[in-house]
Amino acid sequence: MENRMRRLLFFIPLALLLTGCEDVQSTFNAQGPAAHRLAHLSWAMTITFLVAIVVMWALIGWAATTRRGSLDEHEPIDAGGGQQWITFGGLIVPLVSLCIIFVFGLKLLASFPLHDPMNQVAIAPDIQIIGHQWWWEVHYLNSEPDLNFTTANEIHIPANRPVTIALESADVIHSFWVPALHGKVDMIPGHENYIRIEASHPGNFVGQCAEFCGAQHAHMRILVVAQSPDEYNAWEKQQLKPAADPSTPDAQAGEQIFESGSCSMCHTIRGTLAGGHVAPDLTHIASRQLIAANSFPNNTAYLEAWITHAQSLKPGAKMPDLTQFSGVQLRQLIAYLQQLK
Amino acid sequence: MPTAVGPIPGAENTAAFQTDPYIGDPVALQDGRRLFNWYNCSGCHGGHGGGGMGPSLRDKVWLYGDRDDQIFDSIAEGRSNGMPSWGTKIPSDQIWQLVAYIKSMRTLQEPDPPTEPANEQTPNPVDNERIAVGPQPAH
Repeated sequence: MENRMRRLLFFIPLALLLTGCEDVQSTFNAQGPAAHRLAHLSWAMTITFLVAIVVMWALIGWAATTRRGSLDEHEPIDAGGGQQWITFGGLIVPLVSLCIIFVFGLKLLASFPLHDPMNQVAIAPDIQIIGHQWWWEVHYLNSEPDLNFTTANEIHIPANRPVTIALESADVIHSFWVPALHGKVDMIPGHENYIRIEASHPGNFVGQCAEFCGAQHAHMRILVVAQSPDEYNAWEKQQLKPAADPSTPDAQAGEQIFESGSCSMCHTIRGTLAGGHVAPDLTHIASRQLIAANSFPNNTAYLEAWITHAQSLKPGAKMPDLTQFSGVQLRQLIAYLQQLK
Repeated sequence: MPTAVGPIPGAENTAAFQTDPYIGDPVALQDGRRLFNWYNCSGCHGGHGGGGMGPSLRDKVWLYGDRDDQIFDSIAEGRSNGMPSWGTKIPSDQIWQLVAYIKSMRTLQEPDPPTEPANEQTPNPVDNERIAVGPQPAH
């Protein structure tokens, strides 16, 4: 029975990988051309190393069960023959298998449309993503300046179209990684890195900061939403608009609170007096699925909890506990935020 | 207790004023430094509080008092001649962090202290000038 349980435990992660569930962050679950090439390498490496492990354990088992001589008489310890094992098993076999993987990896690297340092003019990124402790600032760039806009944490891309992203950091080194779409690329302060990603079908793809960056590294999550061209254009058009004017009395009072209270010191809502630029842009906060760098669902309960007790949900984040609001004020503030579609 | 005879009438002033809980806390000093830039205190008081459109916070002159609670009030309630009131905008613990940072100025604890202007303004000595200063060590 216990044996069966153990076998079951072993197969659960494997089964999750094989279902192709998009919430699982795995290189084997490739959803784009770049990730497919990476998945080939991942499979090749996994199989090679599994074979190596099986052979090695077989040899260890063989060595452990083989006896030199008999119980009465032990064979001399320098019986000879070991040197060949060392030459073949310890030198030639690893050298050959590592060389194969190395060449595979180099070939893979060449097939990626990476940033060419000698030809910097050719790079015109579609999106610039700046890593902060602990959230993602996202600028959509366009050759026409009035089509630029800023959002945060939720990255929308058109499906079946390569998107060039420039990656930078505002503080420490972060790493941008959506395993279903591409490989890791570090975000380095004062240095732009480039990556080109493509999703082969519409869907939500989750990712994660992949370089330890402080207390809330684990709550620095990425959500990439790949959309059909029509949906993407509609989303882009909506994002370009300034914030929706509040229509209900509650929302109007909430706007007052937002502008005259602590919120506007750090957050921007385009089209209002709030113009702080050190925290996520909240112009279309209600259109996002998640809050706090994609850590919590974007609903009334979590918004209220985030405003009043951010330090309990995400200790160390730059968002302070704002406990000065009364219940009514908090409700009005949430009403205002929730109509910022 | 003998009756004091002096210029100030009344009994000794024993009122207790609130002190900053963050004085000397290095993390709070760093946070105060960050907020000083984020909230644009530096816009008027200078990048390191050395003064600009607003008065210097580094010199020894305190127009409205140098006690912790007086500096807190200057930030929270505002002062005449230009200092806005930030009491409804900045949470009180962040104001205390700013107070701690302002009080750390000119001490060894100050985070990210300004570099000496003299170092920035002295041009690099030209090689032949250097010889005229004195004997140089042989290479």
